[in-house]
Amino acid sequence: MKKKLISMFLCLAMVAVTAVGCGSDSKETGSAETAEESTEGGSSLIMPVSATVTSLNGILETMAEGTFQLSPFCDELYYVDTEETRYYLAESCEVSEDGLEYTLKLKDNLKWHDGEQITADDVIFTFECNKNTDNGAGFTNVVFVGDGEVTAEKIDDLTVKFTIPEPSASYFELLGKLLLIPEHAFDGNTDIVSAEANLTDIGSGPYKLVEFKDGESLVLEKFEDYYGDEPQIDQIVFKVISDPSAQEVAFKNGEINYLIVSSDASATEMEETEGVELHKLAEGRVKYLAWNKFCSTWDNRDAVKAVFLALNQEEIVKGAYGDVMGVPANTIFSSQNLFHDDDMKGYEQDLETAKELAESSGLAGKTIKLHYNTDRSYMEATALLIQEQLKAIDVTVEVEGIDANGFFDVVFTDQDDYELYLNEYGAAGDPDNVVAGMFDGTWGINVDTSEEILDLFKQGRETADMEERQEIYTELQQKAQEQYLVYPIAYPSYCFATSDNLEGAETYTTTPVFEDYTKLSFK
Amino acid sequence: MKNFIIKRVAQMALVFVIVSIFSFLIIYFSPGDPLYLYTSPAVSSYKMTDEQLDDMRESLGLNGNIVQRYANWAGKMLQGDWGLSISNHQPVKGQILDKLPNTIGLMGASLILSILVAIPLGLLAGYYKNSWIDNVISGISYLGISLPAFWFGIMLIIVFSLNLGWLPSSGMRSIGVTSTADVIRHGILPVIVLSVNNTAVFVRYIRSNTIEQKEEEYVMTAVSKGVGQMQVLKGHVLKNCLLPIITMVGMNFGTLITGSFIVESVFGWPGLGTLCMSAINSRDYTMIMGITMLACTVLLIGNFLADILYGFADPRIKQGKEKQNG
Repeated sequence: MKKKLISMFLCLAMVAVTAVGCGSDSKETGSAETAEESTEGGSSLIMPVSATVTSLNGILETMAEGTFQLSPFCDELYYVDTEETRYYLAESCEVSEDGLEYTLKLKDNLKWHDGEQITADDVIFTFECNKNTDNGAGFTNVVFVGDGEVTAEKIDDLTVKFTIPEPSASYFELLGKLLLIPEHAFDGNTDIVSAEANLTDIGSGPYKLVEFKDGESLVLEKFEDYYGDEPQIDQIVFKVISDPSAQEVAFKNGEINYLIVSSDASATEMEETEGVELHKLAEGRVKYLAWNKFCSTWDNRDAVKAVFLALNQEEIVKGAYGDVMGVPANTIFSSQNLFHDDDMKGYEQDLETAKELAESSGLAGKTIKLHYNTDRSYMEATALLIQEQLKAIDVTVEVEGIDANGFFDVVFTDQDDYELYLNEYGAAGDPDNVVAGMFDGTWGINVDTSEEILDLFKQGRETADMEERQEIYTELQQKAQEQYLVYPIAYPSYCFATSDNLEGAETYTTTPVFEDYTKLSFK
Repeated sequence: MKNFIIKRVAQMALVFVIVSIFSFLIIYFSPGDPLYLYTSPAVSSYKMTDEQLDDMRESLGLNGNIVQRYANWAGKMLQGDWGLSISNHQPVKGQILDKLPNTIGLMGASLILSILVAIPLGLLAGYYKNSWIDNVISGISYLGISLPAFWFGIMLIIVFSLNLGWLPSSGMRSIGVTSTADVIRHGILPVIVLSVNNTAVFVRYIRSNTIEQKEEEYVMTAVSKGVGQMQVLKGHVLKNCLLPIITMVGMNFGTLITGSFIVESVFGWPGLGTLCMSAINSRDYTMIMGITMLACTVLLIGNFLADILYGFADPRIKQGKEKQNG
């Protein structure tokens, strides 16, 4: 009996060790070279992620963290920010006078990581893949504009002309973000969702694939035939450490040299740590409080005013975001949006008026419900501060968190059993992109956007002249505030810490970092 | 014995079907649309039309009522097709089998360590009931039962990785290193964390069983004949204490798959736990169903094996079952 038991334990132990040992070789793609061979004597930037990419195909990758990992692997055509347009794969993109034709010209020395030339055929193929919506939303905004479909025509090996069905000023920016995929890797088949090529070296960026271990790590090394500046760091590694506390320990331990900082206390600690540099960028998002137009509590709009005037924005931002993680928002556009009005002032607290309006509108004495998204940072703290502040106008707030999946089933519908909700949206670049969609009924259908504001969004979309657009969008931001559309609370910061020998981390302020990995180097 | 096995297999099949139906219902009725992963404003500013969304649902197998969807899933499952993951469109079976060895390795090692540590401690605590040895072992086991895994994991990381620098804090291997020794180094801390709770529970069981056995006449006879204490423990008490441990190990087979979710997350261990957590977050129902059914199967097989092993460990039970089954 004893012998049987001992044998059983030994067998189990052997199975356990063998299982892990064998598991180590699972899902390796790309070149056969190991990371060890490629790092010999070289420099590595190791960054933690909570999960690896779901696909190396930028069209299919849906997580923000996935986009972050694909950044050194795939280049955009060009990037539009508030100051300039920076061209990557594209040499130029010319827009016709009527704003309907976009002529995109690629640089002539572009190569995929397998050495094949990047051509106009790849642009057309990528466009066709996005037209097939079974592949997901990806870059469908490059294929569909309004109710119509864009056409793409190959002019020569490096030039493609896009014709859009109606004027759309944001199309220039959207087109620039398109991530190309190689036609030859997919054998020209636009049904790409399950293609094996999605997990292979299909990139065009400064770093090519060395090894991809799903759920473990993504290892990239510099691509010798890159068309741009030569990358100065030999390897970029994304390592899965899902727990934020474990990420922090790994950073302090020197196992990784990059860390997303997500709290004020952590930011302060990083600032004070020797050998560490804290970087703070505007994230290009707007966190806001919205009122549900379908809820009868707001039939008298003075009740909305009462809530907005009762809130102390500075106190909320200070309490929820601290000194580092966010700044008060002044309009529905973020500071990273084109045409953001820097001079506007946000809502100012006026408790006396708020109390009067709460009384006259019948809001005082009521209990109202506020939903927030539990998967978003700072939301819970913000909700609790709002709950506290609205007590001053005799309003009791029931705070109820909902996880991300369920949250949008509630707030992007006509449900009428709640009064307020906290949400956020991406607000970088052209405001005709996501920002417009949050207010024109595309997404947030429970926001009471007036015809006047809708018309201004439409004018902004149809106008090509930048100065005219500036006027339109300035007026729009002011109208949104006058009409108590939503209460913009904060522009969150994108904070990260690096070892202080990393240079070039703030060359461009695009988030998620880094827009151009060739600008990074170690001292 | 043959009848017993047939009866147990039939029971297992029934439990399997019931678990699959309940799991499917829970996922079906949980809030959130899996399509949101592909169509949210964070993915694209273009909002798909209802027709495009329907086409996408069709291609992902999300169309139809709950009965149709369950029948569709179960039909494929029976043919060995576990479906495609909704989040990355890769075959579910392949991804699960990729991660399975990592989790089994971790959990298997922790289970073995728990048993090896718990048996002597439990025997000692039971044999020397109410002595200082018992008090120390019981105190430690109570502590082991109460320690939250995520907290204990972080504490170990701080001490052994950050302060002492002896062991890596996360992952299953160093980047670019493929040796088994490196995997074992990475596995030490998570295995310890996983073992602590199991060890504590096993110690409590073995202790109480030892106390029971000590009162039995055969033990008293052995002692009165002058057999040494260690000999009594090893040769007589241990054998009879193993029965509840076999049951517990059988029950723990299910946790070989699911028991390490938190620990895998803290230590960045690329196993089924992390795979399942990300599947839950993205409402990847094919992946969730795949992992649930695998855990269910392993649990059922574990219990089945425990029943069989029981017979080997205690011939009286085997004989009883044979009589019962005619």
